[in-house]
Amino acid sequence: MFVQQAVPGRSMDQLSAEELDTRGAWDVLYADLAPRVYNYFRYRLGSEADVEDLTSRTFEKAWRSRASYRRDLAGFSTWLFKIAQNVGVDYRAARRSHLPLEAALDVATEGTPERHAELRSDLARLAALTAGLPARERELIALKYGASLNNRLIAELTGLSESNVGTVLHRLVKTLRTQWYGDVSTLDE
Amino acid sequence: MNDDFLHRLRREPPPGFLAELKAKLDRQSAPARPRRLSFSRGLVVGLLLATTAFAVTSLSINSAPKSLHAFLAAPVELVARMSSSPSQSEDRQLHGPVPLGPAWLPTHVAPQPQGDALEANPPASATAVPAPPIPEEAKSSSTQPAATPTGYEILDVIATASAFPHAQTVADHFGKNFGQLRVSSDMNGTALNSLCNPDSKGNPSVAELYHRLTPAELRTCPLKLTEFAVGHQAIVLARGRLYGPLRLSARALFLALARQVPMPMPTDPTQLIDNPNTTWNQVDSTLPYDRIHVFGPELGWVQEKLAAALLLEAGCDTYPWIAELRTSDPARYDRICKTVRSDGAYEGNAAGGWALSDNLVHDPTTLGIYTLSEFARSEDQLVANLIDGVEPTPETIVAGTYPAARTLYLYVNRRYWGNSLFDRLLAAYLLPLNLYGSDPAGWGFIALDAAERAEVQATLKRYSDFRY
Repeated sequence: MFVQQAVPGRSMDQLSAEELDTRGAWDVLYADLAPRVYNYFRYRLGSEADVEDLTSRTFEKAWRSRASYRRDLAGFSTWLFKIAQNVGVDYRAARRSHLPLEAALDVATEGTPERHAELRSDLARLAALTAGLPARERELIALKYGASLNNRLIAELTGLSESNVGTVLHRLVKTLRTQWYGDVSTLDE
Repeated sequence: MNDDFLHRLRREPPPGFLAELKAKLDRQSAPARPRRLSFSRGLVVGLLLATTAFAVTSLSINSAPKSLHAFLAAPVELVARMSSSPSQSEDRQLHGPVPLGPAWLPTHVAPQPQGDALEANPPASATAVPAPPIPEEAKSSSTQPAATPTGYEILDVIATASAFPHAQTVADHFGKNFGQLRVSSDMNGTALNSLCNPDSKGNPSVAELYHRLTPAELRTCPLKLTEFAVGHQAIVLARGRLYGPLRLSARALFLALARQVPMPMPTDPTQLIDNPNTTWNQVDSTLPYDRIHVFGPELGWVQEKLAAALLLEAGCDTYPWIAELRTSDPARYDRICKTVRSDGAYEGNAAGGWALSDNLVHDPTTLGIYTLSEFARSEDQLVANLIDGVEPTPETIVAGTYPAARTLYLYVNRRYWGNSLFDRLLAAYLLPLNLYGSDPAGWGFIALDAAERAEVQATLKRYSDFRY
């Protein structure tokens, strides 16, 4: 299990809602999960903007409604990441509906010095490489590498089978790796 | 699998941010967790209360009861008063006298601004009513796309608010491959007017709407349009299996969940009041005496707005005077028919559908809102409630008989037939791979089935043959 075992012989991920209220348990969970949620949003959005705000929103919603969390249904991290997914969906939907039409023309600005500098940011490069992928595959990348979740938890969160998660991720990483190192050589020329 | 390059992108959050968030959370006190009585403890407590109430009431009757029924009913009423939960007690303090019957009362809050209503000013009703003439201001509305830049051709798609995420997903897929598509959201209900205005070069070529245009609406358009179905949106209202499915009517759903409802007869039914209904039997006497309590997406989220529209509109339209507002005062129609109550009868759940199942099993009179796929994953624990006697299945959704569902339509100016970009766009819309359904933003979306897709392709072929 990926969460420290503060209670001997038991994963912190399996604590009940009452146990979550104990100071020590919550501190350990927070220390483990906050960086994961933070990085989940970084990978999912492909930028640093608004990541802190979305991480805060996720934890605040989870904290407010933790009484409704049932450990017999899902691990705490699964529950938390489901909230993070919904926060992300809401954020993207709100942002999309306010994008000016001209934003769609940004694709035409490639090749400018600013764009070149932006591409040198690894995260922006990843965003550029994954931009053409379906949302489900971008989600898988964010959950696997941003949140560092295992395939079983990713399967629970996405509704895919565990083996399907593994297969899709394997194919994705293979493609991205080729593009990634190809991309580096292009930039360095 | 060499995936180091992906792991390396991880970064620790700023310590200051983590500490600040932690302190903020620690300052917030935990909500009281509702206590659950075990069955045996509940039974004992219930029996004790009933016995005590019966004894006290029997002794307190000064005169002989008028009937056996009155004699038996008195203790039951007393038990109803005594058995309210802690939250009900709070409501009792807020509302003064304790009501007999529904022990729980809503706490009404001030209405929120409705600027972000799901469909801001839908262009027309699904019923056959004459559409208003195209207003002059539509020509300069905010939905007009920017001027086409020179150098390459761009297709403009305009989508109503609830169809916009779907259009955007298709555009993302299309745009990454072809790069020449713009999608704008119709924020003021002029999508049809924008599409049909032949005078401006900047007008959209394609409109995606959440409802089908009526013949009257089509007649107002000077252009020749072709219609395609591109998918469906539907939700399921489920509950635990213990008591089986409820048979709800669309009107009962509206009266149970809308923020404001018409005043009951014999008072003026064209006046709206804050929703006073607290139990299902108040909105439909054939329904049980259970508290109206529905879990769904968090208030204000896009999913909640879609759920509200799907659940409330059908029932709302059973009031003719409200249905007329769809064309005469669309903003008011949205406020009435797409706004769910926020007084506690509807409760947002941030973790979404599947996380509700356990709550519903433990509280079998509570209802939860699911997508069809979420429901399928919990079907061993839950049953789908019927709306107007129709069960939510792919067949009833496609057939249009299930009230909490609707179809998204694409309307296309026929002058674009033969344009290669346009052909690719339609191909993207008709991909058998359900790109949007696998996107979390595609909550509630159901792709066309094989037969529907074949029908659309047949239409395409018919026009292609005509063209050549």
